[in-house]
Order: sequence, then C-alpha cells, then structure tokens
Amino acid sequence: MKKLNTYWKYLPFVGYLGFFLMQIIIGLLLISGSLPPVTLGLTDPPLYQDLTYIDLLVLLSMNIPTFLIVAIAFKKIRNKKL
Amino acid sequence: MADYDPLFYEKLFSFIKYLDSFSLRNITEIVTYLLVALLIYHGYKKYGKKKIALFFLGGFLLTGLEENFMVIQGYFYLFGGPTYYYDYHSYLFWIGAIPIVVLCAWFVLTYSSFQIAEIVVSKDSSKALLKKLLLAGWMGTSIDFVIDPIIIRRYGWIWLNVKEHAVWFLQVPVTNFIGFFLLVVSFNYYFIWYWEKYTRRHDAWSSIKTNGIYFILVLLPLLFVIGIIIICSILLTPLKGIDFSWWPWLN
Repeated sequence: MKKLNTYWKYLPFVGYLGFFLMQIIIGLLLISGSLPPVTLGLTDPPLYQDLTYIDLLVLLSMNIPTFLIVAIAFKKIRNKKL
Repeated sequence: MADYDPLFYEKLFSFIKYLDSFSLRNITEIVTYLLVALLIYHGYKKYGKKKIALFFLGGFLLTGLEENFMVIQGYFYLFGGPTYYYDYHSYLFWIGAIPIVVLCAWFVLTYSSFQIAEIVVSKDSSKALLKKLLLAGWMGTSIDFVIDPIIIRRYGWIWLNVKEHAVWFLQVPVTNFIGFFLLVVSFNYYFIWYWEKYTRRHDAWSSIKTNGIYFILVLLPLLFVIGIIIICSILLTPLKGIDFSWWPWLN
C-alpha cells in the first residue's frame, strides 16, 4: 500500500500496458497450442485461419505509434513531481 | 452458420448465466477487475472520489446501454439482422447480454488512454483538449486491433453479420473500430464538458439533481455514436463484402 501511495502516478501505464500484455500472452498461448479448444455451447462457430507468430508480430507493429506515445508519456511523468 | 445461444432470451436477465468450469478467460476477467481497482485508486488520488465515481459509473452506463442495444437489436432483427453476441459459457458476471468484464475493460482503456494523452499533450498547446481526445481515441482503438483478432479465435464474442452486410478489417466489421474510437472520444469529451459546465458551476443544485442529469445526458454520446455508425454503414455500402485482412475467409 505504501508503494502504491508513492507510485500512483504510474497506474495509468500499469492499466494500459497490463491489459495489452494480457492479450499478448493469450495470443502467444493460442499460437503455441497451449489453450484447450472452445466449443462449449456454440452453435456452428465461425472458422478462422490459425494465428501465427508472424501475424502477432504484424499486429504488434501496427501499435508502434502507440508504443512511442506511451514511451514519451512515461519519460515526461518520470521527471514530473506530483 | 453461427447462431445465438439456444437459451439467449431465457437467460438474458440472469446475472450469472452458465458456470461450467473455471477457465483462463475467468483469470483474465479477475486481472481486469484488479486493473479497474488500481485505476479507480489513481482517479481517487488525482481527482477525488466524486469525480472518479462519476467517470466510472457514467462509462459503465454508456457502454452497458450501447453494447446491450447492439446485441439485442441484432437478436430481434431490428436493423438489418444479427450483429454479434458474447458466449454465455465464457464469463462470470453479466448485465443483460454483456459480460461485466467487457464494460470494465472499456473503462481501463478509456481512462488510462486519456491519462496518458493528458501527460503527452502540453496544457499550453492550441486545441489541447481536441488533441488529447483524438490521441486517447487512437490509443484505445489501436489496442483493439490486437485484441479482436485474438479473442474472436477464442470465441470470446462471435460476429454474426453476413459477410456481404459489412466491411471487414482483420475479420472484424470496420464499424466496430469506428464505434470504439467514437465511444472513447465522445465519452471523455462529455465527461469533461459536464464536469466543467454543471458540477462546478451549479453549487446551488443538490447532488441528486447534478448526478441525475449527468446520468440522463450520458445518452447524448450514445446517440451520437449510434448515429455516426448508421451514417458510416450507409456510406460504406459500396465496399460491403470486402475484408481488409491477410487471412482467408474460411466460411
């Protein structure tokens, strides 16, 4: 709790990047085949081409401008006293 | 062809639908709830409890209404047929046809994006608010580009539109991304506008009146977003059936 009080200004980064990271982990598990198939209760679910590591890389590269924005914001907030 | 859950309508008003087993998705749900708690704490430290409560609950109401409207109108074929639905077997808690975690994820993205945009855009720059809103909208939507292709392959939600009835990007209707961008921008703008115009200046108003009007007027961004989506859908008619994706359409 004391740490949270000291570093609370970084929480938007934790929220944004944490959520992002969670999706990437799911993507990696999906590609590696570590996730069980989901078919429960679905009526004739749509079929999708399997996701590959290259696909994930391309999807991530679409977010390069966003990563740059986050990096700039992080640099700014680190030097700012709240 | 994919279809709604056989008990879609019967279970629509249940807070808990099916609880078959605890899966990875339920762990990600709990992590999302934790992220919400952290961001609410941030809002409490930065703005105080009233402002962050209004932001969270206003966003909750807005997205809850918007998502339920989109799913339920599709089920009843109100505007051109099925849209999408969330798998009743996959999530813990629900409001109507929408898992609560979806509304919480929207809060995480909207709030954190705007906070990061606020740090990047200088207060002194011209049209600072517009720049912050657009930046936050972009940041929220760009994450969506990654989330959707992954989650639809886990059937977290299922698009039911006929291919010829929509324009697709990464096997997701383009209007989904436009709607997400508009929701982030319009809700952030609405919140700032209301806070500056009413909550601060109307000291004589009771808090019930101030907050009540806030929750009624939250329908304004909702109507704005739905209106723009309908216009976009009409304008994109010549492109319907096209999928801007490197993945082949398998069925």
